[in-house]
Amino acid sequence: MQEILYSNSPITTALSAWALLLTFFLPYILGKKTGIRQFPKAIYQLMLICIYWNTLSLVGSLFFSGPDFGTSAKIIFGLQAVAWIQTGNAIYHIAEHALHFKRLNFWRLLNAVGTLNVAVVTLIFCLKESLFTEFTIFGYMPFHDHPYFKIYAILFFVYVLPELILTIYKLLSKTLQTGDKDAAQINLYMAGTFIFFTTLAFIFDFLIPISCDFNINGRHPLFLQWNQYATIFLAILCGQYFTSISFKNKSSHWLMKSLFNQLSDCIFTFQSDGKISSSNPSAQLLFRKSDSEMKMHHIRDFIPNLKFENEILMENMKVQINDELHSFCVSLFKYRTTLTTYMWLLLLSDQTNSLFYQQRIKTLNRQFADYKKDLIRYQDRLDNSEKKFKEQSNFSSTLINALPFQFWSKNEQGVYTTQNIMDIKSRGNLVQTTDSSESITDREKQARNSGVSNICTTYENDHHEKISEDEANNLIFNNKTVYIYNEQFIPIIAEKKPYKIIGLKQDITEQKRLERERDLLSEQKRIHSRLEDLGTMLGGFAHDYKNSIGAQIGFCELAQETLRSVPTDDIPEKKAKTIARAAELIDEANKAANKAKDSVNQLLSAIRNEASIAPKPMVFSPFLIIEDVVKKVQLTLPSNIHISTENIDKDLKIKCLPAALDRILSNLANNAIFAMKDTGGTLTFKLERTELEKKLVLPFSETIEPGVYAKFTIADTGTGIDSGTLERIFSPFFTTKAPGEGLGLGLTSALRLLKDSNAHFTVHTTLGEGTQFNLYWDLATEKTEDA
Amino acid sequence: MATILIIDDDEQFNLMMKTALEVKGYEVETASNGREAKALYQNKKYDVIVTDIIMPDVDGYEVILDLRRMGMSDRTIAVSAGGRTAADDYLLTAKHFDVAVTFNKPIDIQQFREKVDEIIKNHQ
Repeated sequence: MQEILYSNSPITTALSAWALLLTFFLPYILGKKTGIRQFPKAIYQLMLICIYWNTLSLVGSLFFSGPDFGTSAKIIFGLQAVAWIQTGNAIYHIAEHALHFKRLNFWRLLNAVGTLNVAVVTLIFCLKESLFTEFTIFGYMPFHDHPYFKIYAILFFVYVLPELILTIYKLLSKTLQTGDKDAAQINLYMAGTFIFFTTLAFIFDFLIPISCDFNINGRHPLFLQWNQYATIFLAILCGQYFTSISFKNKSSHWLMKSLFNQLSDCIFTFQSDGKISSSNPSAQLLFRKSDSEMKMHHIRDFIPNLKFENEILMENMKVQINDELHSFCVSLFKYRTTLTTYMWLLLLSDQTNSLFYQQRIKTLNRQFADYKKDLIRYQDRLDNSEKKFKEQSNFSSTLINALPFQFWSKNEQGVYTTQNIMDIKSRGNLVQTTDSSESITDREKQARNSGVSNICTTYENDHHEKISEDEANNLIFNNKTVYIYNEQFIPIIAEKKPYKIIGLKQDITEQKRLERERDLLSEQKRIHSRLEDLGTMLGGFAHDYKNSIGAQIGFCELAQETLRSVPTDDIPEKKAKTIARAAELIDEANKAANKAKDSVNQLLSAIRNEASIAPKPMVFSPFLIIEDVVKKVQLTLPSNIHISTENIDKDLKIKCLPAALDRILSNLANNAIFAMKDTGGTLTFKLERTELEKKLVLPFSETIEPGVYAKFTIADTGTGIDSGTLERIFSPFFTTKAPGEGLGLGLTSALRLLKDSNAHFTVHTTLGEGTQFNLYWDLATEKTEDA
Repeated sequence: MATILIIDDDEQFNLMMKTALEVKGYEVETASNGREAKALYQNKKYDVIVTDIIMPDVDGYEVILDLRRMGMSDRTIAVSAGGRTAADDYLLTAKHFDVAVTFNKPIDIQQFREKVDEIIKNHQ
């Protein structure tokens, strides 16, 4: 069957015409769909190929259709075959661009060889067709039938198919390799439709003619026809593919642009010749140029020494901008804008700025360090103050707790703020409470409101209820318990009234009691002393009187004796009567004198023993007497003698005549001072409670029974007493005077008084070291006091 | 003839005692205090010495102690009118110093003479 190159069927012609029309609209369709004006070169190439191909096809269908075709049809067909070859090449080229493969010269070579091959084949067909039809190999003529189909099919398989398959393969492998989901989706879609169209064209152009044995309703099928249609769709597809990918790139571009605008670093993009195409606001601000002004400049206008051959990264590049020297960190990148074009991106990080910020940070850091130091200093000061405050408050709390009286303080509102332990013990914890208004005394109010410090004496009964002074005196008189306090209200004067106040309450019960006791003792001593004076006077009087009376009585007796010796015999009766009368008168005188003697004796015994007048022994604190004696003795104390009163037990009580004890102690003290008058020394008084477990038997003194005693010690560091004198001292009521010294009766009377008081004494003496008298006095018990 | 020394600061009582003893035929010398007496008894031996106790200057106790040292306690008679305290106190003290006898003023002249006689007899 005769082959045909171009069908004369009107359908084919219409299809070709439609296809040609479509190719002209191709750029429009793509532009409309994608909104991109500029496509890679390969896509335009593909479009042109489509136009060229379909134009030739339409020309062939219109003018050279039919089974008999001449040389022109053969040439046009050959030209069409060139387009075919070019299509494969162009598609692969697009794929390379889109997938960023490096273009190999192998494909260019293959393309050229393919084109040349088609030209040769076409030439052979035109000049000597028999070269193919008569070609014999191994006795077989492969191209005898359908030589055009076979020869061009071989060319297709050799020059086009590998490129198509490779494109599919690349797309698929890229799809599998990529991690980008969008790209994968696009690639997969692209690969799928590509395979579909390629396969469809292959089926129509090759498989159908072969399968129907080149006979379709008695006509030879067309080949190469479907491929040109498919190419249109492939062209659309390629455009779409590219735009999809570039759209993706566009969004990235937008993102990039936004980022650039936000950056504080300067960014320029410029073309390969150095013409600035864009700049970000930071750059515009730095160089004080608007975006449009920028575009009129060359990058070297701003950075004169920039070399843009390779991508560079440079630190510390100095650039003069408007008289300011800036130091930049420069990064220069090359980036592709299309498949073939690229641009430069220049990133300027102003180190001046960062230096400035570094400086700023340094300053801030320094300031921060200073503040921190200040803070530490303040903290230290605070700590110190706190420590001082603590010490102070510790000191004051210790102080107020150590005070020997009750202490409290109230704030301006009358709320208790402080109490010492003594006050808490006495009244309970009152801190944060107030007294009821009626229980606040006028004195306290005066202190609070007028700032007048007040002190007063208050009295409380044994239930600690406040009582008046009269009631208190009454209770004291009746021997009932009365507490006496000194209460003081001290205002803490401040700017405003009312004031804070401090209250002090001192228990002076014991002090007052001692005062009373002291008063009583001195009263007793006064009475005693008056009686003693009287006794002394009377004693002197009685002595003289008895001498006189004694003389009188004696003379009376002597007179009567004389009268009795007168011989009565030789006296006249009258005379004898007269003598008898004289004797009677003398007798009367004697009687009267004797009566007078009795009166004096009565008077003396009355003074000595009269209980009603004489002071009674009383219970008292003997340390008061010691104090008195010390005071008295000190008036005339030689400067070389010291008095020590170290161990004086103030709680001891004894029962005796205070005056007697005074006399005893005074005498012993005077003796001791006398003993030390030359050498000087120390006179020591002691008063202790002592318990004798055994009988105390000593030379010179009476035995002291076991028991509890108040022991008085009067010790000197004088000459001591020699044994002879000591013996005399202990002879009862012995008294003597050393020649020329006034010792007198003091010691005797002292010892007698001791005996009267039922007290005992011992004496220890060492010559040259001193003498110590110990007096043992029965302790007065409460019972004794009551009795 | 026995010699007696009487020491008393009261002149009348001194005279009274002297009279009472002179009547009995004793030789009596008197002194008004211990100092005068000492001048006498140191130079002359008396059979009996009567002394008061409370006297100015040198009192009776010193005389008594002095005489005791001279071994004449048993020839000594103490007489006292007492003073601020009862005469007994003084005389008791005197007794402790070993005097032969003591008398309270006013004295019983008979007893006084008897005691003097007794002392003189005891030493004959």
